[in-house]
Amino acid sequence: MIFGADHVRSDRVLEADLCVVGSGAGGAPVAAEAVAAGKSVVVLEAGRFWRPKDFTQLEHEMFPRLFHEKGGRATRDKAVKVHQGKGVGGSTLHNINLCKPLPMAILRHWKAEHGLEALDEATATALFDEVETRLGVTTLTDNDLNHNNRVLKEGAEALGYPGGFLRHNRTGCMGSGFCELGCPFDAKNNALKVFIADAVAGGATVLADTWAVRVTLDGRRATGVEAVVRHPDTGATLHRVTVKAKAVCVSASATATPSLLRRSGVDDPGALIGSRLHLHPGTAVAAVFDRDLDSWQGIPQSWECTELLDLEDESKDLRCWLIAAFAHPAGVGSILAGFGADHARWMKDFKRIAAISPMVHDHTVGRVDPRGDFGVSIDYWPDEADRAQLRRGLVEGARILLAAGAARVVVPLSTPVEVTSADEVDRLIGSIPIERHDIDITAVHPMSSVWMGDDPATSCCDSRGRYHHADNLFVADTSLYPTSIGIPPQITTYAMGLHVGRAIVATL
Amino acid sequence: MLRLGFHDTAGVDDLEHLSAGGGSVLRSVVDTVLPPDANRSREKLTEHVRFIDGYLVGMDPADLAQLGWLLFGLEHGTILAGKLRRFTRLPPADRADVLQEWRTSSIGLRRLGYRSLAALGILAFYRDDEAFATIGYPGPLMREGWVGPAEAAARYDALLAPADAEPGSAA
Repeated sequence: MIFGADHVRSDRVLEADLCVVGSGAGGAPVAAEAVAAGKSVVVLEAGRFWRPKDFTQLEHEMFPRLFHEKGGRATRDKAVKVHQGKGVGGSTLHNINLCKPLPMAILRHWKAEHGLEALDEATATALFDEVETRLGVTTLTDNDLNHNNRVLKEGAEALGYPGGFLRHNRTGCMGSGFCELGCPFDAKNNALKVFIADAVAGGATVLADTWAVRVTLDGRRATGVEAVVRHPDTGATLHRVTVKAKAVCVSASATATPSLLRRSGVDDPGALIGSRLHLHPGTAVAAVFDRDLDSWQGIPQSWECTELLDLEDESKDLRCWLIAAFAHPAGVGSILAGFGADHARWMKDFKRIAAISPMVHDHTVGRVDPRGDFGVSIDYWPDEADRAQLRRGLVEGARILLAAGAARVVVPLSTPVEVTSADEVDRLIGSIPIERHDIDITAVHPMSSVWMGDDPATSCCDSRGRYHHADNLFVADTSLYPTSIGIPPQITTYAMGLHVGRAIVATL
Repeated sequence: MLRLGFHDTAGVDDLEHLSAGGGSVLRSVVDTVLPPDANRSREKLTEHVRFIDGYLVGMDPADLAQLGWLLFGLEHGTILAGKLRRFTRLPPADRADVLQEWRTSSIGLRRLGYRSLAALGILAFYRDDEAFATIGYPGPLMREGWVGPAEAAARYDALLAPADAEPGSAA
């Protein structure tokens, strides 16, 4: 069953074969696999248990419900926003359902650098296929394009740029366009609907509103997790929860997982934990058209442009993914539209705005550290090479928008850069500075902070997710990736969850 | 929390997270950030400030303190934008000049300050049909009373433990 803060009226002790911290794309399949193998499982989830009726489609209500720090999480200098989900189901509650398996070129690179003896191409491919089947993944079609994505497609095709329809895990989608605020129609085949439901049906206990404070250790052996139940609104600590378990799997995200491990004092002889963070930084270029687009309606991201992305051939240094991007009024208004009369001028055209986001397969190495008992402290700013990728993305995004018929294009710097013809793009956008607090940089894919590899001296976990320097302690989330992956991570994360879950079961 | 004197704090003198003075500065910020509207009432601005104050619940105390200092700096740093009066006492056009100076400042922290305050004001504004109507946005499809698809509601309800259940055993 799923329990929330209301159910916990005193300090509690639970015992299980396995304690999983986190219920998103990593932790949910771990829990489901263990339950399917007949193991007892306790899942700890910091967020609440939300149901379709709770997704009100209002930004000011859903940001606090679905995102850590109410959507305001950012790097320590607040120059990069880091959107991370919470709630039973984790970030899969609010993600846009993009399904792209890990490119084999990335896996080959990982294997060349780190071995990964338990994760060959055939194993990975089989895992991705299994995940896609369980999530009901399908390829979108022209009928699924909203106006914003059609602008991207038509502009890219006019320029001869490559691209294609994306694959999604949604069933019964009515195209309301509120995916980022949770789906009230239950069309997302997400971690809650697919894997947590299976785990609970098989007897798993899920504690929502419950924050892991530390993994308990007896020498090298993980013995459980100490956690607290916090008030879902105020964050006040209500009660303590102790989980005694034969194995622990930390799947709390690439920021919270390393923070929890560090807070727990696990052995880390190379001081590796948290030291290799990647984020997939992104930004946005927008345009006003002379016709209504109502870009907030429909599936938000259904088509991709790969003109600047080649993950197979690193020598090309094409590391920027171009994707449609839009939001609802507060999201768009706070990024794009200035203030006062300037804001009114832009938002008057809200119905006619399209936007494209360049997202970078980043080489920048950041780090994450624990902040207090529950928080994270993230240090990251894209290096010059990654900023150059973002700049190229803005340039090509502007070209695409103009090719699709935009009347004017804007890069929302503090002093916005506006362009009305393709001739101006290189001159006005091609050399813009990308400076802290001058442009909105947002990241939604933290990863590679507790990465896997065969050598304990150069990696944190083995390729089955087992932490090198402790027994019965596993990691299963995007933390495991040795590098950025250049694509949305959910399929890879679910697959690693299954993979690690099976490895855990084999030890119990 | 920071206290600022000599403010018109009516309506914001009992905030939970901001001081009355901070609330007063924030009200002036919100008035400057939002689309111009000659009919916007002081009560509406106060409501926005009270919403923002409520939104701050559960925030890290260090972040709350930073917000207090940010409002303090805005109120008393107007001289850097060439203004001789405090932010709350400036006429609207001069307040806009100050915010614009912050927005385009060569100092990153000032740009951050502007972005943070503007984002709060905009979040507070786009909450209701009245604001949505100004930009032709229909707002949520779901309205009060929506319970979701019946089959899904039953399926998720079945996952939830009974109200009188408690996990594990007492410590």
